[in-house]
Amino acid sequence: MSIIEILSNCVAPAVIKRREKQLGVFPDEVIVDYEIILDHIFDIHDCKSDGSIKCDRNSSDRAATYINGVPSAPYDLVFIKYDNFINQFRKSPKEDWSKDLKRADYIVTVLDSNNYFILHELSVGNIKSKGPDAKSQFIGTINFLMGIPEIKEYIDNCSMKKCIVSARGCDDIKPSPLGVAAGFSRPYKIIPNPCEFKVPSLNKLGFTVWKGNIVNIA
Amino acid sequence: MTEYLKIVDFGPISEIELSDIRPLTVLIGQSGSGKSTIMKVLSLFRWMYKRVNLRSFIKHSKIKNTKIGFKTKPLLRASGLLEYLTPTSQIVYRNGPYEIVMKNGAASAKFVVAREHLSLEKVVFISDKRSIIPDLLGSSIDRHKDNYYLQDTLENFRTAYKFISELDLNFLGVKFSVLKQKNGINDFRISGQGINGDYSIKLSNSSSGIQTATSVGLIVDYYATKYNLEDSLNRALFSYFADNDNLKNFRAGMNVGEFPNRRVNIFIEEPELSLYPDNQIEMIDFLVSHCFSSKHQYDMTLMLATHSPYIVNYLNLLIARYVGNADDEISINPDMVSVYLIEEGTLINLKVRGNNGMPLIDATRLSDPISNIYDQYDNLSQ
Repeated sequence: MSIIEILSNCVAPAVIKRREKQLGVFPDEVIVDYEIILDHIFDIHDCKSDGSIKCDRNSSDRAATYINGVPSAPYDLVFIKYDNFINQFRKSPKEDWSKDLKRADYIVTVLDSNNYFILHELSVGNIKSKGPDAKSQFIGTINFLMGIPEIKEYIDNCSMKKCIVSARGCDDIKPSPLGVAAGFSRPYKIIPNPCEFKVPSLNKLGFTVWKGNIVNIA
Repeated sequence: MTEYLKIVDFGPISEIELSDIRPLTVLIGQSGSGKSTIMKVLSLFRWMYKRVNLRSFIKHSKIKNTKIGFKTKPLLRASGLLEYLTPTSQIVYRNGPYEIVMKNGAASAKFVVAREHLSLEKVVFISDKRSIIPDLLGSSIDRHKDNYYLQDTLENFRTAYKFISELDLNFLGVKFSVLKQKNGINDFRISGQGINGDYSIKLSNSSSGIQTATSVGLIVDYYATKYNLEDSLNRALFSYFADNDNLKNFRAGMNVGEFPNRRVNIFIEEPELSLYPDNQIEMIDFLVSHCFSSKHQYDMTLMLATHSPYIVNYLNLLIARYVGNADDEISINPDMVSVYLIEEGTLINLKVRGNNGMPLIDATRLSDPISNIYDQYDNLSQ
């Protein structure tokens, strides 16, 4: 099964099952909204603004830049709007099958390949306030997905498992007027972009965790 | 020995795990995130471990029933932590092969520390409420009794000034002194050079930064230069034998001086309290040089809870000096340092590798608020 089929056929019932007895019937149609991007270098943003994941290069609401393979042979990257996928189970505040479920913004994989499984949480631009809970979004998302056998098998078979929170990189930092706070931007310049940090509970599951706004799909 | 702490469902803590506690550990995080909770829990469990070592030493000395134990809930109450306890709370503390576990509100430590692992331990807590100490010193009112950590800070201050009557606090540019007056009351003074010449004023009349930092300076200087751990254990033993009729059975298997491990553990809440950034940095020099650069008869550990971007960023310079062999300047081995961000009740280790491959503390989180301010400023300007 493809990741799209797994989400539709296995993850959606698992979401419903959590609260089915209290909340009743399955929704008529489960939508797995995704975008396939084949560009070598492109920028992404929060799809809530215009529905699209890809945005204009270096636009003001850019959250991250992907460097996708080599120019002559980029991958077919599948961006699944996982936040939207989970949110569709929220009919109303009273009928919310997704209540208590953590949700990263995007799942990113490579079409017809088990190379990559990426959870991408956006936290810059107009949604920077989401930054503080990125780690708990990752842990919650992964713990839920790994409890579903079909997607656990899919994830376990992926050779590269990453969680990425798109926090500021040095290229995001604009100088303060007259340099009045220039010193405070110095730490960004010496931190690698992206920068790996240790989250033992995710590392144990084979995931590496990264902070930054450059995503290199080698 | 490797030291480990895990806290689950306790006050603001969801689940944190410190798998190898480094000699210098710094905690940052939003107000109310749980920094002080972690420090208080670790200090409490280190104190329990100290008690178990005392009990083990006495057991090795042929006394079977030592009557040395601890009751968890009174300890949590005294530490102001009882309210944090929930039905699912769990705390695990390990020191090498020895484990103290708290479940269902009760801690269990049913082990005897082997002779080769016995450790003389001292736990010192310097509270963020220390600004009141100069007033308490000159007062007969025991306003500190309800706060164990303030009380501990005050008692450590009182112990320290008995051994240190004068101390240059270079990180403040002042000198602390204690003068005994004829009426037996101590006069705590701060002296220095001001723009109007030399001055000497009461500690309680000095600036808030000097008042809070003097406690830190005096207590740390005492524990780094004057403290005698063996005397401390002898006093504990004397107290134990005074309370228990066991002396006749006591057959010391080893002398107090033969304890293979010795450690002084200092916890400081907000070392930067009321200090100008330059003074904060100089205070870190003072702390690192006293605790880690000078020789002692024991190991020292230091745990800090801070909001200061200056302190966290300065650690990178101390690390770079060590890596770059800047021998004549204060430095610290990066392997001795950990910095954690507490967020959403969990821990994030901020030690990473920099662009040049050197160990680095990721201090960007502390710059983010400034960057956000100027993002908004730029938006308005446009």
